[in-house]
Amino acid sequence: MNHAIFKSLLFLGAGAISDAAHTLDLEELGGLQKRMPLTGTVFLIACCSIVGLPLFNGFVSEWLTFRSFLAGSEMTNLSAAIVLPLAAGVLALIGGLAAACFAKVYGVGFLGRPRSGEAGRANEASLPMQAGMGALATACVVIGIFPGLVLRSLGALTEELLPGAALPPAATSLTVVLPWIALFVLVLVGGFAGFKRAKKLTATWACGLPGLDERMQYTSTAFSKPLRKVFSRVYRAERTLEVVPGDPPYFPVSISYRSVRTTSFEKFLYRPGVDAIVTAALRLRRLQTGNIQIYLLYIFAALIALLMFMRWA
Amino acid sequence: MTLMTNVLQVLLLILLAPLVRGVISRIKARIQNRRGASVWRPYADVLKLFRKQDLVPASASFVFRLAPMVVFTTTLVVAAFVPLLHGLALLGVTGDFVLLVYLLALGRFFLMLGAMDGGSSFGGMGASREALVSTLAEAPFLLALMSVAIAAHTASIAGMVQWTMGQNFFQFSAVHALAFAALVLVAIAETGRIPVDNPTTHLELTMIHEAMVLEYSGPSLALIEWASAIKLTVVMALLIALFVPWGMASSVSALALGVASLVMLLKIAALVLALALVECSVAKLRMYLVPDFLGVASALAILAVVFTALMR
Repeated sequence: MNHAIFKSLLFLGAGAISDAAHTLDLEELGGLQKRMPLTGTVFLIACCSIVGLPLFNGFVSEWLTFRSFLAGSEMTNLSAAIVLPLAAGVLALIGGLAAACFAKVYGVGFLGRPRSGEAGRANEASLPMQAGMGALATACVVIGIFPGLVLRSLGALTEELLPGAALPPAATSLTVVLPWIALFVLVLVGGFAGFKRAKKLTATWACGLPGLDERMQYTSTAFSKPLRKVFSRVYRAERTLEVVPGDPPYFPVSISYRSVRTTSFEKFLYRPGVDAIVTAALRLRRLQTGNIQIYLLYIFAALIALLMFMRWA
Repeated sequence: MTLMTNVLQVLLLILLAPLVRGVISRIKARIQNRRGASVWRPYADVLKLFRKQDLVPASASFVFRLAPMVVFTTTLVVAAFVPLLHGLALLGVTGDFVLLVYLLALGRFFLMLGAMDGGSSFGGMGASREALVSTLAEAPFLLALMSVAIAAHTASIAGMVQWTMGQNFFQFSAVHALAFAALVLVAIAETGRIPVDNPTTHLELTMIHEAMVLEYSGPSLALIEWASAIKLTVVMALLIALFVPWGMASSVSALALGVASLVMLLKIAALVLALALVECSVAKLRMYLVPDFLGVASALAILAVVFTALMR
């Protein structure tokens, strides 16, 4: 249910971006938070939710999953007691990867400076779009801070389906502690925001040189490069680097760099299966001649085969 | 009285954190044959920064100024999870280890966004590297805490601490040894110390955390610096509370708490000394060796979890 809320919100946000900036390529976006404040803010809320950060609804689901894994360690079956807690590690790794991914999406898309003219001229989404996104974002935050609202009714439903299944007391501890944390964070952040009025706009530090432009920002490809390198067994990148040397050779005339990324599981797991099905389908197409007599022959052959099957089987 | 002790613990952690940092850099200076700055310098730094103007890049949005506040508040909340003087903490009973790990993640997520909002290449670079380190550190962090939680049959931090207090020191199990080793490695990565990151580097190309905060100044920087000092102290206190809690007050009386504070000071001093020694004797790892470092932590954490099941 939480997933439904924040995923829809992300898609609505993506729609608003594509509508405003006429592109969904991250490398062409940037600085949208200033151009589209509301879309940006709700997109940030959706990102926090999907990453599973506390005070947003994604965390509640993630927390419940972690606690179930922990409860799994009490099972009498030894292999289950080992595998279930280890699955928490996998979930944590996925959570970390999600955080990296959505920091990239929001950071490159909405923060910094616009990377193209289109992004620099983007306008806020229309009012109905804003209202739709706003409602979903509110749901994300409300469920994230008061998970009891949903957990209680879901618990009642589970009890209806599986008699004796009650909400564990641990879940209620979360419903108690989250509103307090939210209140504390709100008061403190509000306090700081009120206190820190004095600010001055300056240019970004460019090592003392003038002319820092938007092309010098980190791109989304560069952002995920370290992770791609670590998991290079999964992402087999094909790179080509062409340097045309000039005279003197220290200042090349042109450098072209191209990197194609395909995931190896796509290449080795899905591709053979897809290829086999396509070849088989092409072969089978010969059966379809368009001649009605041939089709009648197929039906007759099938009938004979079935009759023989019934006789001897 | 219990409540007051809990509040006192949090205040102690927050207020003593800069001192811990000052002492570490002082010891490091002594080992390197320098005199070093006063141990009170981190306080002076924070006070100085709070009095200064906040410089904001013209291209930055509200996220830039929000990020330090989020980092600071989440670190404060995490400080309320950790028992220091006795086996309880303000949020130690209701808050569990999953919440602790993810509150730290919340702060880090916003810091990465704040870094990217500056619009320079260094911010993006720092955020990208931080994303790598934190992604790989999260799994061992959670698994190591989980192994202790399984052994103690509870998910709340205070529950785990009280369970360990009830154990005999000489029955220290393999689970604890493995989880402790994994958590020490993760703690180094989490708090950005050598050999994963160097907090005193001045070369942009080697920075991780420092590259992220390069664009910050004034009160915003003060909040980030203070928060990272608190984080370091809290992680140390967490290690102590989970693995060597003996000496904590079992009853809430002035005498017991006094003794507990002394014992706690000694334990933290020991950890500080160990950290300073490691930082002076080990070189920072190359960026792409950090995954191996965290791989070792993950392997230890996985073994710890497997052992909990085998040792029942």
